[in-house]
Amino acid sequence: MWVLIRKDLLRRWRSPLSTIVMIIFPLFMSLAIGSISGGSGGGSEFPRIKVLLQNNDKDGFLSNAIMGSAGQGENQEYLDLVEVGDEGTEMMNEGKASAMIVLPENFTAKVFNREPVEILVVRNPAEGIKPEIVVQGADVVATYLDQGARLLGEELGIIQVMMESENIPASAKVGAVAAGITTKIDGVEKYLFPPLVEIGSVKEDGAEEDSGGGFNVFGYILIMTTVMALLFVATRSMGDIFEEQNNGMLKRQLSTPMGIGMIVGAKTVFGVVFGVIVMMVLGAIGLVLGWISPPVDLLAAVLLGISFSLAACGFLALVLSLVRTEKQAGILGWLVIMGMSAIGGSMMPIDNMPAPLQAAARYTINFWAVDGYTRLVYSGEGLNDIMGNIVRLLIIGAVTIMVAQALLVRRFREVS
Amino acid sequence: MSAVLEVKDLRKEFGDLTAVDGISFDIQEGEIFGFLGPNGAGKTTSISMICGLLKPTAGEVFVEGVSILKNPREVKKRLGVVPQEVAIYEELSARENLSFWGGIFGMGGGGLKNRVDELLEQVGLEDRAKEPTKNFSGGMKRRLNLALGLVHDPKLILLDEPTVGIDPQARRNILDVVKAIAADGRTVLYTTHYLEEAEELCDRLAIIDHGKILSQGTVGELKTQLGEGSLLTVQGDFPAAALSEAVTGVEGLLPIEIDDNRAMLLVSRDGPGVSHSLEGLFSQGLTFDDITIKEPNLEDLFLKLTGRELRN
Repeated sequence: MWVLIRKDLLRRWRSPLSTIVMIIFPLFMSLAIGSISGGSGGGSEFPRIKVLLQNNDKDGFLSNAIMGSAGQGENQEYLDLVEVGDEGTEMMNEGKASAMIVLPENFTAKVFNREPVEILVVRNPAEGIKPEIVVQGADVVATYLDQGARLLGEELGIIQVMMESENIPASAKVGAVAAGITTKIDGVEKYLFPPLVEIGSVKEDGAEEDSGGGFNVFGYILIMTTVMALLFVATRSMGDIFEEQNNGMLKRQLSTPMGIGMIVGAKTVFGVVFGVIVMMVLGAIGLVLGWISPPVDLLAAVLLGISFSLAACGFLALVLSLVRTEKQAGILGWLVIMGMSAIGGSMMPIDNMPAPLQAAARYTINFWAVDGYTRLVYSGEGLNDIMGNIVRLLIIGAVTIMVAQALLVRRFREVS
Repeated sequence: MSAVLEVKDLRKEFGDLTAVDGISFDIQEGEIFGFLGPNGAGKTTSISMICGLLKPTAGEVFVEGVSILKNPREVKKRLGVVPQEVAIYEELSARENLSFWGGIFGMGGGGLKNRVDELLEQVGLEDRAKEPTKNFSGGMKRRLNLALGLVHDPKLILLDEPTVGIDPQARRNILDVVKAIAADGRTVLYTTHYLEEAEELCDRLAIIDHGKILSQGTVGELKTQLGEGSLLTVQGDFPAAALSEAVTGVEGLLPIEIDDNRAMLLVSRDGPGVSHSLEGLFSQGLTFDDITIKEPNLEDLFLKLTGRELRN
């Protein structure tokens, strides 16, 4: 079997155009869609994100400032902010928002006293990208607060007294505070501090999460489109058997002691190996470009790639086993890839789809791969967290490969 | 000598079409056996059954006594198949193609490398061995196509029209290689519709048409089936019936094929000769526009057996 796989790898190496196209395609799509979505700031490109705000520091100066500023400026374009009380948890349970930001009791006092404090972001686990945007946004706020509290603790205390005073503060006093703030910021802007204010992110079901890599729209689209590209890789790999039938190579191989089962099996293994190679190349390019961060669990990423490639090869082999000619295989394969990619989250984020399509997405192999990689790369999850995705893909791969193998063996047993 | 290939009552039907109709023959060790017939005669279907690509409707094939139906893997190890279409990987070089096919048969290491070098030299591709074969001419591809079937040094080589559509130089090379491998003790089944090739190469041959073997034997034996003598071909303005009647009255003149305005006749070597035959025909009022006298060949035999020319 290795002889057959090596031959196909060598053929791809010698004639790399189609492989290059398969690699360029996701990169181009990521660049194009990412630029349109993130570069031009076109608010209409993004759906609004519903975020619940639960302020448990009712009279705090900082918490009120955060609550007040959250709905200002650009945030208005993207965020649909709803201030909630205790009912927020129930709303999250019912999936009525993408995330809920919880400011704890005595938040302001703790920040001013330079005590560690945590802003909690509760994520809706049914959604992928929207809660991630909220987490990243809250992270920015936390960073500012952390730096500000460390640097300007004294000045903030004075400002708080001024704000609470009924008298208008003297201009000289305000000027002195402003000058002090400016001097401190200029002096320490290059230095980093361990955070006093941190973001804690939990899913709606309460499970704590690692922070994972920073969200990047190019990287997210790269994941989506790479999954689609791997389907094309699988079609190309499995469809090669039709090409070999047309150019007489299949017949020639069958005149040797090698059986058709071995040939189909070798094509499948080649498809998986080739798919993993393409995925790794795209991942490496994404890393170099800074679009994605290295997954916390590299083994999980590789296993997910193998299981998805296996499922893709099996699924496409099954599709191809139902047609008679290379042309039919090309058309049907293309339709299936486009359909699965559209529904399964390779063309647009699942969160943006209507509910029925979101439900249908779970029946595509794209969904389990995109979901798995998004969680590995952006949520810092590991093998145990995405084991369900891997197992699903492995089962789909095993079943479809067995059925396709049987059909293809029957088809090509007599090739004349 | 023992039979390397035995074919018994082989038959293949595709629905209502009988592609091969109960053919039987055997090939001895070191022999080049030709399958001579026009396109669509059943040559490729026969080879496909012999090498296990097609399951026969009836009949049996034995290679060195082993049945292809009962033990196909064992038989296929002993076969080298050179298909009619050029079946090579055009992205790969000649050396890589040869190494791949050697690998399929379990060859590897220095043995495979030496064998590949040997074959590249034999088919005259040693200078272009590392070049992608997509750059090769048609003749070079044909030569490589032949070499791929020989890489594992098989006992029986099946060559299906290996010289179709190539230049004379490449054809010469292929014919020389086939002669060399037969001289080396290998057994060859060679299908062709080129008479000259069959006459030059084959120790024995079978004439096949419409799935049936019409005649088989050595070239000499086949030619004598027309009779001993010279072939007289006449063309003119005459009905077939008139010429048939005239021929019966001429001593030593035998009909081979008679149509309106054209006839092929055999002037018996034991008879009075060509002049006497022509005089006999003229004396019965027949006139001809064209008269040809030649020694009989396989084309004439094919015409006699099938009523049509080989290249039709």
